[in-house]
Order: sequence, then structure tokens, then C-alpha cells
Amino acid sequence: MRLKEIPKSLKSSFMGYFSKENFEFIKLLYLISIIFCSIVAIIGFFSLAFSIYFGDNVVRFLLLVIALIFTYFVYYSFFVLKKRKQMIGLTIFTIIVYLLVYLLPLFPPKYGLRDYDVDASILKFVIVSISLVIVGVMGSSLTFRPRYRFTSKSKEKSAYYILIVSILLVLYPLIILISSIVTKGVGGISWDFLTMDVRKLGTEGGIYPCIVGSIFLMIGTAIVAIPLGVGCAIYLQEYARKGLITRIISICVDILQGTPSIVHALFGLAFFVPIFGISLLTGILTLGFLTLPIVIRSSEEAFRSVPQNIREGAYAVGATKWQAIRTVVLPPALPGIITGSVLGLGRAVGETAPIMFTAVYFFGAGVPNSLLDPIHALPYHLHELTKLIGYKEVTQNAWATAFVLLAIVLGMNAIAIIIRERFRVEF
Amino acid sequence: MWLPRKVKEALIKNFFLVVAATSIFIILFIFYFLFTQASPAFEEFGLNIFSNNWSYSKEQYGLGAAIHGTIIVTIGAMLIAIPLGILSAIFLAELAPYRLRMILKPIIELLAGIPSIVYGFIGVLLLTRYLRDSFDMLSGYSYLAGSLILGVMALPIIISMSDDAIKAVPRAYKEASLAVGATKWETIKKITVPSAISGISAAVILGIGRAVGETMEVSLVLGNRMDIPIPPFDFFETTGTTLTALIVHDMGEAVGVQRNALFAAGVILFIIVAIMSISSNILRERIEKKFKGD
Amino acid sequence: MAKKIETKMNVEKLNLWYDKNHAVIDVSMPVYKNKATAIIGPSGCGKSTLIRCLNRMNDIIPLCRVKGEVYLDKDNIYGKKTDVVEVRKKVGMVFQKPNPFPKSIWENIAYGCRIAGMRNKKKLNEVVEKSLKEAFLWEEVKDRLQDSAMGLSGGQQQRLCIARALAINPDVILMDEPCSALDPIATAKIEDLIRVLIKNYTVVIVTHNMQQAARVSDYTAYMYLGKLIEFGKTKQIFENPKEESTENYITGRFG
Repeated sequence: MRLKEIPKSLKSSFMGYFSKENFEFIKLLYLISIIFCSIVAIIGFFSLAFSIYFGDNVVRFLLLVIALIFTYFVYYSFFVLKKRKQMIGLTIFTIIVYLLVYLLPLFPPKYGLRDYDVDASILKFVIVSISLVIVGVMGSSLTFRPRYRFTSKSKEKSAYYILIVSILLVLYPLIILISSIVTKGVGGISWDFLTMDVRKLGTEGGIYPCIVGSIFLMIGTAIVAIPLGVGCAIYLQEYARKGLITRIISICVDILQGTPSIVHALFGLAFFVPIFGISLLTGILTLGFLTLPIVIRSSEEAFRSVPQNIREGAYAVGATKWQAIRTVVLPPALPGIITGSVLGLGRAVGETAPIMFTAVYFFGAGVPNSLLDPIHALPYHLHELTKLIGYKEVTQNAWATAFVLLAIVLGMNAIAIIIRERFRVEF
Repeated sequence: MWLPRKVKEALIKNFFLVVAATSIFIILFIFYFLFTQASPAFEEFGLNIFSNNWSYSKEQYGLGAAIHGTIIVTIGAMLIAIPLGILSAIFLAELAPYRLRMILKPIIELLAGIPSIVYGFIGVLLLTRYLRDSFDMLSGYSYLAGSLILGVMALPIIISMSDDAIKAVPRAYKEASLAVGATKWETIKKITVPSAISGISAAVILGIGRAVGETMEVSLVLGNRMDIPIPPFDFFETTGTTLTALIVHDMGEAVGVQRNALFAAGVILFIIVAIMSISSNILRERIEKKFKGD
Repeated sequence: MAKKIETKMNVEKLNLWYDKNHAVIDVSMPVYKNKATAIIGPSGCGKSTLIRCLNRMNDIIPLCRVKGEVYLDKDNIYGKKTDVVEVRKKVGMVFQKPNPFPKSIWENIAYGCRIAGMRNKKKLNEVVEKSLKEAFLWEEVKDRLQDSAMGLSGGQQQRLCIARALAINPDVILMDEPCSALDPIATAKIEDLIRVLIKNYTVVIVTHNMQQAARVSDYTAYMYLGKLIEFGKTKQIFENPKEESTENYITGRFG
């Protein structure tokens, strides 16, 4: 069903419930139950998320309504649908909801766990909110059982409801994160903020050297990682015979890709810092090694997507291997390579650990004059500001810094995705 | 170029071979340098490096507490990320209509791109306050905070790779199931997901690897006291740190054996994640063989 | 007076293994100049493998081993000193599934000449026009040479691939089931094209369609399970096959 058609079909089935010929109370009740339980789940969720408590009586009322609805479902399933065995779950659910209604006022508002050496208390409204969510979700899900007469289709609809809830739960933190950074960060952005130097431990001034430093890091990383990465991919995909060497290289690339950023940082500290000191160059090299496997993997993908018969077409006209790669494989693979590289660079720009011991100062570095100068960078700046929260007045600047960093990283990711979609070559 | 063609082609091929081999060298370098920096600690403490005996004054550097922390935080994160991730992947791969999928997939990729420092920042500013309010905690900095955010961070990897794995199941399998009268959900439950299980496992393993190696977010949001909380599974304790957070906090001023011990922590991390990556790779190769052989 | 029939290519005791699979077994046959030779046989008999040996296209397949000789004029293309790239410039190939490059029509045709070093724009234009005319495609695309080749129909794409092969002026054109992905009308156009091409080129065509082989070729080779069972003039093969296996295949008892 197309997304646009859903409101129409809902409307027609809704109308269907009220038409004289087709009226079935039970079907209307199913619809009400699903909608009501979903609303209850949403109420519970928001009460949990925003720490609002609607009061014992409201909650008990909501739960009571659900319990009553489900009592009717149990009756209906037993006497009308005659599905005696399958409605056990339904019955248990109904009983639990009744119990909740009954026992709710008996819970203390706060149950301390400090006696058990746990540094927390169970607050009633948290438990109640969670219960509302669970009851709401289970209620909606279970309603589908009798609705479709306990057949396999009913289990299907039940399951689908849970799947939808999952994806919504996944989207929630993303929405919170982006919306709060945008709303709270925008206020701190000003021309001064973007062009002034860091002053007074970040409480005043701007983030200009951080932006410059991050950009230099990004350019340097691109220079290091992209040629090396594309070259490696060309060898692995176009030249190498599938043998021991390619397997070893592939495993090494995998390990490199999974290596935690802090380990890269340690490596940079152990290897590059003694040679180049804490400098832009060290940072570039460390980040370059971090970005390399990303470029390799996406370039490999891009080359793999060029079908073999295109290459054969080139060979058949007398092209050498390198000519074929250069003229017929590389061009269609280019969007994929660029996408992967931009995504990799986006990750590099946001990394804190690899530059922390190798390239950055929190104050004093300014704009670098040479590759061997230390720098500022956005992620590290944000890190230090975060540590100062509570001690100094840095909160506004911190939100603004987070906003700038997020804007740059997400902007790059968006560009990468757009490149991939616009310039994709279909074979 | 005036070189004879065969020579030129051979030169080009070998040039690319050298380029490709650098990735091996990089790994070997990393391994070598980490080990040389870490070995004094292993020599000095032997197996005690794994004990919970961390004291600056006594020059004792046992990493036990940090290892414990890494395990706890990862378990907590996986409790969130695995069910939500796999279910969402099933939604994305099987249930979502084409247009919705085209919107959601880039959004999930967006989630993957958010830098960990930003998660840490949000964690400190929003989550700790929320936990203080909701659970009556003193500070909010705890394993719970770390795990909650870490779970969100591991989600995109698990969702993305599991989605790929489910989508890769050949249509022929699904059609065969439907043709025998199974519903779509039965097909998903009994045919599609089991066929994709290698890919999903590979995704989960990689997600665990990400969680284990995650640095900035946990360092900001955990209590960062180098000790095992009592009781050991107490998610609300402020005590606790991970291997990654430990390195970040102490590296700035560490010298001598302490520094070696931090490198030892790095080595442990490296080995754990390397094992995860290799297992994930092996699993994915098994999938390829399974479907190609048919 | 009958024109003397020259041998353009000669296959002598050719054997090929894909890993352990002996795919071409002791095949010897001539390919006559300015004639069309068809290779027929049931699926899996080795005909595609054999034709791919004629321009060493099997080289790119891993685990492929070849023993025996294939002569182009007087030179063994499997000789140790042979430059395979030069061979492919003289022996062109058209594949079963049309494989135009994701470039413009003009660039597709000019490709072979450009990589061989030709830079002169005027000359390249001439080559493009000549090749497209030879492939019976010029009239249909002369106004849109800069358009992407991927936008052409299947039959047009295949004629484009033929034009691309013709552009470098080969001596021999190999065709590996060129019509199996095309509709009957496109197929008929290409069959007509082949009859015209042999005036200037030598053609070898693999086909699983016996009627096509009968319509299009002068000589036919019948293969079965990797061996060359019979070779001779097409008329003779179809009307008076010598081997029983050949007769069974022709009359449709199997394959």
C-alpha cells in the first residue's frame, strides 16, 4: 500500500464501521484497541523521556480501560471465535493489567537501593512509565491476534507492530541528539565565534583555529589515504590472483579497519611523535592510517561493481590491462571511490583520540605555519570544553562547537550520499 | 612512455603490489610498536597485569578493573543494540516499502557518522542529568550512562550489516517458501533470517568490536575510578572505567611503567578487536560460499 | 575461375583445462579467409571455450591451462614471444551479451584506435563513420553520436559492439553467440551483416541455433564433449553428415 493511500484506506475502513450493513462492533473495538494502546505507549514513552508524571489516577484509568477492552476480547475469543488454546496469552495479559491497576497505589514513590550498596533509587514514575509503554505495545500487538482470528496472519501483524516500534526507538535518540544540538548550538554561532581565536580556556573568543586545524587535517589525510587506498584496491581487485597474498592483505585491511581509534593514537604516539613531535604532520599520518582501510574497502566495492564483460570488451579491442583499468574500469568506479573517501574523511574530521596525543593543544597553538606545528582541532576542543562544564562558563560555546562539528561531519556524509545517488552508473 | 609495453605493464603491476603491501606493513608496524612499548609492563607484572590492583603510589598497575569495565559496558550496550538492531534491520529489509527504505537507510548511515565525542558531549549534558532525575543518582556518571549511549552507537553497524545480510538472501528461497503457502512473516522467521544468520552474526561481532574500542564517549560519561564496583554488576556506580577511557585519562602525564601499562591496555584492545574482525570476516566468507555454491 | 581458398587461422591439437576439467580435447581445424565458419554443438561442448582461445581471451580466467597451437597466418598466437595485445588487435571479438562501455557512442567506437595511439580527431571521425556504416548502424545513430551507448536497444548495442570491433581493422572477427540475447528482427539484421562482412573479414561464429549456422556460414564445425567431431562445408554437414553423432545433433535427437 502506498504511503499516500493509507489515510484513504483508514478513512474508508473507519466509515465502514459505521455503515449499517457492515457494522460489527468487534471490528470497531479492535481498531479502538490498537489506537488506544498505541497512544498509551506513547504517553508512557513521553512521560519517561520528559520526566512528567500524570499522577496515579490517570495511569490507573488508562490501564483499566485497556483491561476492560481485553476482558471483552477474552470473552469474544472464548465464546465466539472459540479459540480456546490460543487465547492463553491474551488472558494472562488481561490479568496482569488488572493486577497493575490494583497494585499501583501500593508502590512507594521511591524505593531506595542504597541499602544494597547501589547508588540509585527506583522511582515510581519510571517504573510506571515503562509499564505503560510495555502494556501499550503488548496490547496493540496482542490485539491483532483475535482480530485475525489467531491465524498465522495474526501473528504476522503482531510481529510487524513490534518491528515498527523497534525502528521508532532507534530513531528517537537520533532526533533528540540532532534537535538539541541544532536548537542549543545555533544561538552561539556568530561571525565572531567563527573567526576569533580561542581565549580564556574556551570561555570566550571563538573557534577559528580549530576550524582551520580540522580542515588542514582533513586535506592532509586525503592526500595520504586516498592515493594509497585506491592503489591498494586496484591491486586487490584488478591485478592480484586470488591467493595467499590477497587473503593476508585482506585480513590486514580488516584488522586495520576495526582497530580502535585509541590504538591508532597510541601508535602515533609511539612512532610518529618521537620523529615529528606533536604536530600537524603527526596528526595527518595517524589519521591517514585510520582512514586508509575505509578508502580501500569502498574502492574495492566500486571496482567490483564494474561487470567483467566490460573489461573483456576492452581487452578484445587490444587494450592492455592498465589501459583497460584506466579508461574503462576507473571512470564508472569513480563515484563509489569518491563517496567512500568523503565518508572516510568525515570520520577522520570527527575523531578525537588519534589527534589527542599527537597533534593538538587546547590553547597556545594558533594557526599552524608549517607541518611541524601543533594545531587546534574541533573535536578535541569540544572534548576539553565538555570536561570544563560545571567548572567554567563554557556551556554555550560547547553547544556551538558541537553544532559546527556536527554540521561539518553530517554535511560531508550528506555530500557523499548525494554523490553516490546522482552519479551512480547502471549497467 | 618509450618503454616496451611489456616492461611498462609489469612495472605498473608491481607498483600497485607495493602499494597494496603497505597495508601489511602498517599492521606489522602498529603491532611492533605497541608491543615494544607494552612489553616492559608485561615483564614487570606478568599475569598480574590482569588483576585489579591499580595504585599509583605503589607503582602497581593491574588492569583488571578496566577490563571488567570494558566487559560490563559492552554487555550493557549489546543488550540494547542487538535486539533493537536486528529487529530494525528486519523492518528495513523486509517490511519497509521502497520509498521509506530509501529515506531510512541514509538516516541510519547518518547515525553512524556522528562523531563519538558528540555522543559524549550529549551524554554529559543531557543523559547524566536525566539519570540523576530518574534514578536519584548522585552524579549520573555510571556504567548505565555509558552503556545506553554505547548501545546507540553500535546500532548503525548492526542494522546496516544485518540489513545487507537479509537482503542478500536469494529471492528463490523466499519464493519457494511463499509458494508453499507460508505467510511473509513465517518466511522471514523460518527461512530468510536463518539464512542470513552468518551475516547477522558478523554484524553483531563487528558491533561488539566497535563497542569495545569506543573511547571518547565512555571516557566522558563514566565515573572513571579505577576499581571494580561492589556489587560487580552495579550499573549505577560511579566507580568504573574501561580500557579505552583509562588510556585517554592517564596517557597525558604517564611515564615509565605506568605508560607501559597503558600500552599494554592498548595491546589487549588491539588483540580483542583483531579477533573480532577476523571472525567477522570468516563468517562473511562462509555466506559467500553458501550462496554461490547453490 | 575458383578463387584459391586461403587459411587465415589454423588450430592444431589444441587442449584446454579449466583446473581439472578438460574442456577442449585435441581439436584441430582450419579457419578459411573471407569465409564464415560456424561452431555448433550442445550446451557445454566447449564451443565458447574454443572460440575464446582464438584471441586468447581465456588467459584472463584463472586456473586455465592450454596446450597446442593456434596459428594466425604463420604465427602461433600461443608462442612464447607472442604479444597477446597485438593478437587481439588482429582478432576481434563480439560477446553474447552486448557490452558497450558506459560512454558515448562515438567514444565506444573510437576507443580501440585511441588506445592504439591514434590522436587525430579527423581521422577518428572517419573511422567512427566507416565502422558504423559497415555495421549497418550509421543511419540510426549519426545524429546522436554523443549520446550514451547504454541508451541504445539490445540489437543496436550489439551492432555497436561489432562496429567497435571493426574500428581497429582486424583480420578476423569472432562472435560468441552474438544473437542469443536479441529478438528475431535484430537477429536477422546481424545475420545479414555477417554475410556482408565476410567480403572484407574472416568470421567465426559460435551458435546454438542450427538454422542460423546453416543460413550464415560457409563452413561448420560440430563439437561434442570437448572434441571436434566433424568439420566441413556447411552444406555437406547439414545434408550429408559423416558422423553419427553429427547426424543425431542435426536432426534434433539431442541437444
